[in-house]
Amino acid sequence: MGNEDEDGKTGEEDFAVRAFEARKHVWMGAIPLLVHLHESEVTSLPAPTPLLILAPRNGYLPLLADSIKPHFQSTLPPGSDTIWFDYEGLPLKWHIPTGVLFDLLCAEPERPWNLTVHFRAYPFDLLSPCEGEDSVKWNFVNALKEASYVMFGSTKSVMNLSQTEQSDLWKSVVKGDLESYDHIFSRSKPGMNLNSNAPWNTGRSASHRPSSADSELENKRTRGEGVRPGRLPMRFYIRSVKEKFDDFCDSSPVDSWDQLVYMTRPIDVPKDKETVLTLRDALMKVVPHLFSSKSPIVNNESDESRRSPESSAESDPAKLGEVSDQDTGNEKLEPEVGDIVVVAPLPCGADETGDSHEALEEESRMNAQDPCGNLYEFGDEDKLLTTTGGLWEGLKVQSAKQFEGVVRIQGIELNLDIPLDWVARNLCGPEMFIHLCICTWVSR
Amino acid sequence: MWDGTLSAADFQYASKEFMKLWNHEECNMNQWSWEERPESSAQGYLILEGVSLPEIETPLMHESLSMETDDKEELFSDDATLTDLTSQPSRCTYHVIYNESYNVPTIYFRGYHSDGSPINWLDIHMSLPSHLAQQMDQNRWTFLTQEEHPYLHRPWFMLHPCGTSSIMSLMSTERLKQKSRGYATPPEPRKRGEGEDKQAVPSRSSDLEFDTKLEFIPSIREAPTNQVGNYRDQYLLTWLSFVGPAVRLPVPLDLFKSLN
Repeated sequence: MGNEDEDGKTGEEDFAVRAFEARKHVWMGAIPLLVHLHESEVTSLPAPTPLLILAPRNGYLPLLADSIKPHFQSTLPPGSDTIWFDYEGLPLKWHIPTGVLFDLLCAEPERPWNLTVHFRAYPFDLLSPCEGEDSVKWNFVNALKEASYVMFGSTKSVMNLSQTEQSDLWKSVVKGDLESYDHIFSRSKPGMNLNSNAPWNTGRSASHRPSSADSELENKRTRGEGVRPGRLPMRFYIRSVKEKFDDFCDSSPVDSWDQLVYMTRPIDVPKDKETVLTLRDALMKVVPHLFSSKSPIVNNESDESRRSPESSAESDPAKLGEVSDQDTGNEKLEPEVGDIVVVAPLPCGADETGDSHEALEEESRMNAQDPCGNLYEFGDEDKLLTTTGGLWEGLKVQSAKQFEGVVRIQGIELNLDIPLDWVARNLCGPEMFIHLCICTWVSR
Repeated sequence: MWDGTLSAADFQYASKEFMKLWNHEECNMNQWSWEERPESSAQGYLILEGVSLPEIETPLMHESLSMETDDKEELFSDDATLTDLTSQPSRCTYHVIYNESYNVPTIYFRGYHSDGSPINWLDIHMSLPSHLAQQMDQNRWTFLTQEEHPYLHRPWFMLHPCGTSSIMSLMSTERLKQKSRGYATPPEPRKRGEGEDKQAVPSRSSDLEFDTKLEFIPSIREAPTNQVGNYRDQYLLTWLSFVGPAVRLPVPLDLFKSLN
C-alpha cells in the first residue's frame, strides 16, 4: 500500500483503484438476519415464519421496515406501529450502524443473526424515539456534520450541500450506493472526498480550528491537494468478557447497555508527515487501561524465519528471561531490524564503568534497557547503539504493550499497527466515523 | 481571534469555578454538583437536579387527562384535582457535558410532570418563548432533539452544540470592543447596524442554530493578552446566559454582577 512504483503516477492511480475496491467491499458488506416477530404481537395461528433478510453493514435497522413489515402485517394486532429490534432481550439502538451492532453484540459471529422485531410497546425509556426514516436520516446528517467538524473544524461541507444533494446522499446510504455517495462528496467544499488518491502525508494538515479552516481548505481544494484532517472521528465501543476465551461463543450475551462503555473520542492527526498514526496509538490514547504492563519482545511478524524460541514466551511474558537463559545459554537475545523492543528507563548510576567522567558520559547515553539486559540509548530517531557499539537501524523502540482484547472494525479483526489513515479512508461508517468494537478481558 | 472552543482541561476548571460561584451566591437555589466520569476527557460533568419549573397548561395535557377520565372516572371525577395537577411544578434535571467533537459544553436535560409522566418535545415547544419555539419548528432535527446521553445511555433532550463556538467567539469580539471603550454599562437592546454600539446579536448563518437577544453583556476586568485564559473563568456563565432560555433553566442575573 503506497506509492512505491517507479512510475509514480501509475502507482497513485493503482492505489486509488485498490483503495476504492476496499471501500466498495466494505459498503457491500451485509449481515444476514433472521427476523422473528415477538410472540406478544402474534395474533394469528400458525405463527408467521421468521424472515431472512440481508441488512447492509453501513445501514440502519429501521430502514428495513419496508421489507420486514409486509411479511408480518397480517398477524399484527390493530394499532399504530413503531418498529424496533432486540437481540437476546437487549433493545437495539437504531442510530448505531447495523454492522457495528453485530460486531459488538455477537462476540462470535452468528450467521444468520437472530433478531426479534417489535412493532408495539416501544421502550421510550431506553431508546430515543424513532419516527420513521426521517429520524434516522437526520441522525445521520447530524453525525456527518460532527465528523466534518472533527476533521476540518467546520460543518460547512455538509451544510453547503443543497437539498437535492442531501437527499441524494441519504438515498445512496439507504441503497448502499458507494459511487453516488462519493460523487456527491467530491463536489463538497471542503472536500470530504475520502476516495481522493492523495494520501495524507502529501497534503498539509487541516487546522481543526474553525476560524481559519474554510479559506485554507478552499485553497487546498483548488490546488488539488489531498486534505489532511486535523482529527479523526472515532467511536469506541467496549465490551468486557469474563475470561480470555479462545472461543467467544462461551461468553454470555450483553443483557444491558450499561454493561458496555461507548464513547466518541476524536484522535489528533500528527501534523508532521513522517509520523504514522496507528490504531495502537489511538487505543493507547483512549483506553490505556486495556494494555497490560507486562510485555514481551515482539518479533516482526512478517518474517517467520526470524522467530526465535522466545516468541513462544509472548503468551507468558513473565518467563521471558528464563527462556532465553535456558535455550540460548550465554547468548543474549538480540532483536533484529524492524523488531519492536520494550525498553525500560534505567535508574541513574546503573552503569558500571570505572572512570567517573566516562561513567557520567555512559550514564547520560545509556538510558534504557530491554528485559534481556541489552542497553540502548536514545539518539537520532530510530537509530540506537548497544553496549557493543552495533548499530541497529530502523529499530523501533516502542512501548509495545500487550493489548488485552480484540478490536474489530467492519467485522475485521485488525492488526494494531495498521495506519489509521487507511482505516479512516476504507473502513469508516456511513457518517465517516470509525467505529471500533473492542472485546476485552480486562475487568472494568 | 479566539474560536469559541474550550479544551477538556479548561472545561473541568471552568466547571469547578462556575460551581463555586453559583453555589456560593445562590444558596437558595438548587446547587450544582460534579459527577466523576473517567471515560470523559474532562473527567466528569456538571449536574443540576430537582429544578422546579412552573407547569404549562397545554391543551394536550387536558386531552390526555380527559381520556384517562373515561377509564378511571373514580380518580378524576373531581375537578379540583385537575386544577391541582396543572398548577404543580414539573421537575427538571440538567447536565452540562463536555462535547468531545465540538470542544464546547453541551446541555442535556430531562424532566417529569407532577403526575410522573416525562416531559416530551411538545411540552417543551409549548413552554418556550415564541422566537425559540419557532427555532424548534424550523430546525426540527438540529436545534433541540432527544439524543442518547453520552454516559447514562438513555434518551435525554439535548441542545445541539454546532453553533456554540461561533456565538462564544462572537461574544468575545464584542467584549473586546467594549473593553476598548472602558467598562460597559448594560446596553439597551438595539437593532443591528446602528453604528458602532452593536448588540452582540449573532447574525443568522448556516452555522448558528438559534437567535438570541442579550439583555445584559457582562463587563470585563482588565484582561491579560491571553484572552482564553481570562475567559475561561466566565465561559460557562456566558454560555449559560444564552443557552438557559432555550431549556428553561433560569440563570440569576446577579451572578454576572458578582464577576466584577
